[in-house]
Amino acid sequence: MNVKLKKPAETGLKSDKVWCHHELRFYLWDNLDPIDVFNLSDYDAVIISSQNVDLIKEKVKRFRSWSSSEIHLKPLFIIGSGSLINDPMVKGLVDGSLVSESHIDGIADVVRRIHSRKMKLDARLPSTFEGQLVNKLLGFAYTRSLEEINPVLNKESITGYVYPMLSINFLREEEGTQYQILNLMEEEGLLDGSFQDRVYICPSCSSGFLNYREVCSKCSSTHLHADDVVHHFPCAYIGPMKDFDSDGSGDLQCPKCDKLLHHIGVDYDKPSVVHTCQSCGQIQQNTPVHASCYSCETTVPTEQLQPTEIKSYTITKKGLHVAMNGYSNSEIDTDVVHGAVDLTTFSTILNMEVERASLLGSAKSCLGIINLHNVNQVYNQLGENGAYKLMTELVELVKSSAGRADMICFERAENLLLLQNEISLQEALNTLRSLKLLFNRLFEDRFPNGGVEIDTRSQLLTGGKNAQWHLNELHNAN
Amino acid sequence: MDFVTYWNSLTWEKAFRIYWYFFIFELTRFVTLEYVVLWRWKYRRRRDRDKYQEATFRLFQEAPFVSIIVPGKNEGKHIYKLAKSLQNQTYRNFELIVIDDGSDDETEKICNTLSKNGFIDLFIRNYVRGGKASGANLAFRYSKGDIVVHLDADCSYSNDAIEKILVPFYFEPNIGAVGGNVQVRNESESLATSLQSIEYQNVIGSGRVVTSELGIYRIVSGAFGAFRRDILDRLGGWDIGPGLDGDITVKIRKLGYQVRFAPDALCVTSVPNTFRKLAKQRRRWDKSLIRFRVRKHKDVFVPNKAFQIPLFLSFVENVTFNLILNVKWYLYIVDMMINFSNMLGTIILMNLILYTLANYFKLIFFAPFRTSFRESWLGQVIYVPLSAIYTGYFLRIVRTYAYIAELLFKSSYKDPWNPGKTSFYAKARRI
Repeated sequence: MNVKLKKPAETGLKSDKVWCHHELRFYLWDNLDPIDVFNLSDYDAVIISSQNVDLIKEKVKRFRSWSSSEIHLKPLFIIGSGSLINDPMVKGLVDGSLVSESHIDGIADVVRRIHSRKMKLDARLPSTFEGQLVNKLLGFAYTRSLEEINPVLNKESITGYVYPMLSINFLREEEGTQYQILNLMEEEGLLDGSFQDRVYICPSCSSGFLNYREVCSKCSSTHLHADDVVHHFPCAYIGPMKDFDSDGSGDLQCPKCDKLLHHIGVDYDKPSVVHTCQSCGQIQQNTPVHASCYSCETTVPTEQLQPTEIKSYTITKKGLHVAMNGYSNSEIDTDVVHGAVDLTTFSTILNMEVERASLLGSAKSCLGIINLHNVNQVYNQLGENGAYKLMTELVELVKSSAGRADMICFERAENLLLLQNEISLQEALNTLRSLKLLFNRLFEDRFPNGGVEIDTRSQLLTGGKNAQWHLNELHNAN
Repeated sequence: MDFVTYWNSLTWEKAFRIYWYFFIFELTRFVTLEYVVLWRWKYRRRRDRDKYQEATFRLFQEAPFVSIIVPGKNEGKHIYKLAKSLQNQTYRNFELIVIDDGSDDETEKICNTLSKNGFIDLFIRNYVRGGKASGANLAFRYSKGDIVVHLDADCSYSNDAIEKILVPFYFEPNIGAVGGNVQVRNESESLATSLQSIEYQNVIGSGRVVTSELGIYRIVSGAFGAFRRDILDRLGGWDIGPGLDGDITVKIRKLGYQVRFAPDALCVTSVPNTFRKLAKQRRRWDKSLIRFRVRKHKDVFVPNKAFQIPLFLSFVENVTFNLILNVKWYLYIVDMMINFSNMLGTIILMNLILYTLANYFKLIFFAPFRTSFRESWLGQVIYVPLSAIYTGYFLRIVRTYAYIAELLFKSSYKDPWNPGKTSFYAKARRI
């Protein structure tokens, strides 16, 4: 047991909120703490301290839905009563709980294990939202050694089921999208699904909160009255129950022969049920069932509801590979783009450059990135050959603005890396700024409806850190 | 050779002594009287042409809402064809109600599909079979029409059939019900169906024209009959069968309404294609004469306040020519066996010749009075000789068996055509 307080000056945070245990630093995130989530990236783990379940939920959701893997993959615990994590959603998102500060030793190994696995991950951020979610889900499962991603029944979910690490990234009304992501991952062989349940969701808003009602086949009114049909054997009169109980006394008397009905099955029976619409008077027996959505108020016949299979997923080998190496939803092989080097070569040269910078001390080199958001739509439009031509053209544009010795690499089809030697950060940023203008002009002129958005970043190389570290830093920089 | 000798030796007196049965009953009632009445009907029809057109005009002007009701069990396979034929009717202001009386085939599925697609206006399935009467009554209960037309699902109707069965309600006052003209669809299927086709033409095609003209028309066929809603309301619909068609016709007449036959309202139905099936059907029909005419409605014969001469005559004619003459025929055979035993074969042959001649006469001379789908009656020529055996022997024997079974054992109450639960009460109440 080795808990000590961190000095306030080192974090700028209140010292009683930071617990140290050996090399690990834990941040105690309590009820009234106004800290921004991104400030928690400096700590090895976060412990939520609250007795308010709703507040815990909110904090957990905010934490895990954060875009940077430095936050959303960070170990997260709850301190206090174990009952606080009975909520299945919270349970799926935290790494455990501890009763008091003295139990911190019990979670230290968990933190170390998560960090150790996290280091093996590719921290690059895919340009598409879907790609980011795929990475997030696989990364979370990998760092927690989860073999399965299981659905959790949740009455607060719009569809009735949640996959905690995925669902928290959506607004409640957009939760239906989680199934599209999971289907995509299954189609791409990252996950292997096994059937658990089937839910029917609103085709308009994907909500599973539906009110099923029998409606009139003619006017769709729900104001229906069901009546047993009574058959009086002796005289063959047959009609709704109300015909036989016209005075409401409960005694059944045949309107045709005036005889009292005695025993069902002996002198009368009830061979069917008939519904009468109280709005339009339509008589019917097979009333259609419509589902009315509580969320968007759309009403549709049940046949038009969208059946959605709820599955448990196991992560495939391919999924594990993607978890560690990052996900790209483009099938383009970026290693063969003319004028650019492949990622392995680029990483090797980057490592050498870092080493050179460390040795020389004064050497300045910058690593930059140009993200091409939504560029996959343009690639799809162009086809494979057209996409390669465009990528080659982009490389030529970069070459025209960069130095002759600078290295260019398509990390993925959606981003370009640029290693610029002997250059200040400001100069590097200027180069990227002018490239952004050129790229924007190119895409606006040729693909005005493509929706491609460009953003750039650059950073100075830091001695003692490897290529992977630099790439992670570049991706995680806001 | 013997027969030629016999023929030459036959005097009028002798012929009448031996063949009185044919001359008095068959020739007089079914040939001479019918021929005369048919001419009268033809004359009146021609005379009232304008009145008929005016009635048709009034029908379309007033356009009463009509409920076409089709109760039945395991009839799903016929419903699409029926609904399609109704869509082509000249009279269109109607609803189609189909009742599934506890079918155990695909009827429910078929009818639900047809209902969803607008071929049927109302489809109700009774999960427990209740019998034909309860099916008809359920359809009637939920019908909205001023006139209710009862159809059988396995019939086909001419395009103007609904119009033609409705016109009589506007042609004459006080019409309570109108019967349609049911003919045979499958006449070429077998010998049994061919013979029934000739029979239907005589008994229904021209026979019902005659009874209608005489005011003694007694059965509005369940296969095609139209009824005024207010009258059905008063009667509470149909009573338990078998024989519910004739029963409701009598009840309507007892209320003082006229019942008419509409020969132009044509429909065709499939009749039993074997003599075994035919015998079964006819036993059921024949039993109803005893059950309804002789038992349930025997008050028709009683001269009380409600006594009606046409209804009385209708019953007398029916009972006489079916029940009494049936008995009489056996007496006739006994008479022949006792008094003319050495010539019995010749007499039977002679009888067949006489009946065949009468039938040929009817085939040829009644033709102008028949309304039929059939283009020509010539195809029936070869079956006419067999028709005498069919009506004279086959139907007579079946009828005798049915009468005895009903008179002695009330066997109609055991007929599986009706569910036992309803027959039990019908028997207890003597209805």
